[in-house]
Amino acid sequence: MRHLFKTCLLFYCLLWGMSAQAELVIEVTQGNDQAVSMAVSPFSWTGGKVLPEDPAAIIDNDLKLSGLFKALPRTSMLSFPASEPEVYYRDWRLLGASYLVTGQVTLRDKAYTMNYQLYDVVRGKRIAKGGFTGNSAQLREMAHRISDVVYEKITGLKGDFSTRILYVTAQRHDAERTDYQLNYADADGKRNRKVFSSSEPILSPSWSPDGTRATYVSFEQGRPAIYMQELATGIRKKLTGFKGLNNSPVWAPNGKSIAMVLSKDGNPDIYILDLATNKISNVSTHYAIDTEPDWMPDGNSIVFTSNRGGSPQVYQQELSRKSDGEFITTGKPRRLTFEGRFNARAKVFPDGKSLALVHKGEGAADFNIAVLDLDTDRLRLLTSSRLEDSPSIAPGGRRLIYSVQGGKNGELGIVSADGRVKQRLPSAKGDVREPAWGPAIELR
Amino acid sequence: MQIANVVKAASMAVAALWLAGCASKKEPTTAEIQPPVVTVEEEVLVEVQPVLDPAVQAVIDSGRIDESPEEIQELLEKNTYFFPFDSARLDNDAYKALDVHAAYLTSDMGYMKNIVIQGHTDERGTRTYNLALGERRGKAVMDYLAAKGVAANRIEVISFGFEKPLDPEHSESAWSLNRRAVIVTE
Repeated sequence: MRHLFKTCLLFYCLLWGMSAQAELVIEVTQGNDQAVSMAVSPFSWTGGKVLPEDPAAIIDNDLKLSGLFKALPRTSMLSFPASEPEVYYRDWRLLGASYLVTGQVTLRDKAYTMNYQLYDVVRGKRIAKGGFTGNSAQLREMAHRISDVVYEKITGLKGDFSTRILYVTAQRHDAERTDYQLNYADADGKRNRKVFSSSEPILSPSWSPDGTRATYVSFEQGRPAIYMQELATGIRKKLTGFKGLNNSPVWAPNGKSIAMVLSKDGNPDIYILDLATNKISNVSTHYAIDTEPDWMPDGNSIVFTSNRGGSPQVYQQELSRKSDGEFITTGKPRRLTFEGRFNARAKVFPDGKSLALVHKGEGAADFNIAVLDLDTDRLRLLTSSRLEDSPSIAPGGRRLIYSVQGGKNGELGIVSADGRVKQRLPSAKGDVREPAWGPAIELR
Repeated sequence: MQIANVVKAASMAVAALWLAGCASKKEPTTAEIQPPVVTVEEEVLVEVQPVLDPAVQAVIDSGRIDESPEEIQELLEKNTYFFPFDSARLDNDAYKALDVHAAYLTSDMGYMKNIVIQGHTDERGTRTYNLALGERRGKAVMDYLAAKGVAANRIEVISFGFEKPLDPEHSESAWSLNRRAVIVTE
């Protein structure tokens, strides 16, 4: 019997190995020694031919990447239960698994239905069940949704597995020639898709809150301009192309306006483009560098980097929007960072209570990702390589993605907000940089 | 009389250098490798007073620069200016070269030309902050040229931050090469 499982497993490995062509491979560099042990039994499949995805492997990998779980390898499993009657809790207890997932995929009229059950092995009972339906291209989405449910059921926190990440690759051939490409992939690094490519730099991508569009900076015309592109159709529109800087576009939480940096009036300042009226308002007017805006979750204020105090630090500015689409400032900007000579590119956590930013300490040489607690003003370093940049926070706020340079190639890193779990996403070729973690994908 | 001779000799040397410079820019073709055919016209050419690079002549004619033609030539060719870390301050060598550029750009020969100044930074800090810093560096060059009479609307500053390093390595020496502003004449 065991032999049969091994043969099946080998077959699985061969199949899934062939379908994997991801450019981003996530490598765990620091794990969690208190991870919860988890078993995901291969899903049963009744629909003829071969199921194009392995849902159990996707869920298993998601949960491992969260850092809170360790997954029992299939080779250690004594059986592959496909449904509740086939579950023998005692076997799973012996293997040390705290939780077990089983599932079934069926096909009817080109619609796939994926059902799942989650069991608490210690208590010996099923604690959740459900299912999703979609087409063959949505099989991975359905599996990620199951990961979300399992994660939430066990931890009480919302999962972030049904998300995607925008990032830029740059392949330098020589001093004159570099190929840039904007891409997005699922949060597990799979299913890379091209958004736009150019022989000139591409920078600061960001997501619309509904996940359907990306904004980014492209130098394709020899100077920077901000573009908006619909991901499903590829339709793009130039939003700004003023003289000087056009950068760091960031969507307001309600999706109705975009904060950005322009220097059209002589100096880098923060501006807000109201999408309904096309009105552009200047919301920072200091003669110093003002750049890198991000929105507070309520949309009533922004944080940004300014060197008005002598070194780059993060400030907060309250705003109000008038009925004609103009944004005006209320009160003076308030400085938020005080520790160190460099605090920049701040991103606000979804709860609005802390910031992720790029920090260089007094006398330090490295630029690292840090988290600033806005209530206590306590700054906590999350990472420790030489040159880190562009933190971006996953929905739910439990993981961050950022870029790492200074080695042979630029790569991406993922770190849990508590700093305990670290992963690297090296590129197959050239640099990977400028990651932006997108919102959850809706299954329709 | 003697001084005039020295000047003449110097200009000849500069002209020779300039011509040599021009010639070296292109790959020799088979035709160029052939031994030169001496013609009467060429002998006439030799008798003509050697001319300076017109741009150098324009700078001399401006009467604003008190340097030798060789020096002026060299300063006109200096189009890249380097900066200290996190700074957009130009040094005295840069000012000296920019004086010559300003004299040229306001001369009869140069006053129609538009220029682009590229600003660049090293890789430290954030990409987006560096875009602003690169612009500061370009602006520092622009402001100086403008103060010397070059109309600001002829100058465009484009910052690339650290997207286009001269040296992609991760070392102090690479960083100091990458912190720069570059004048590109159209």
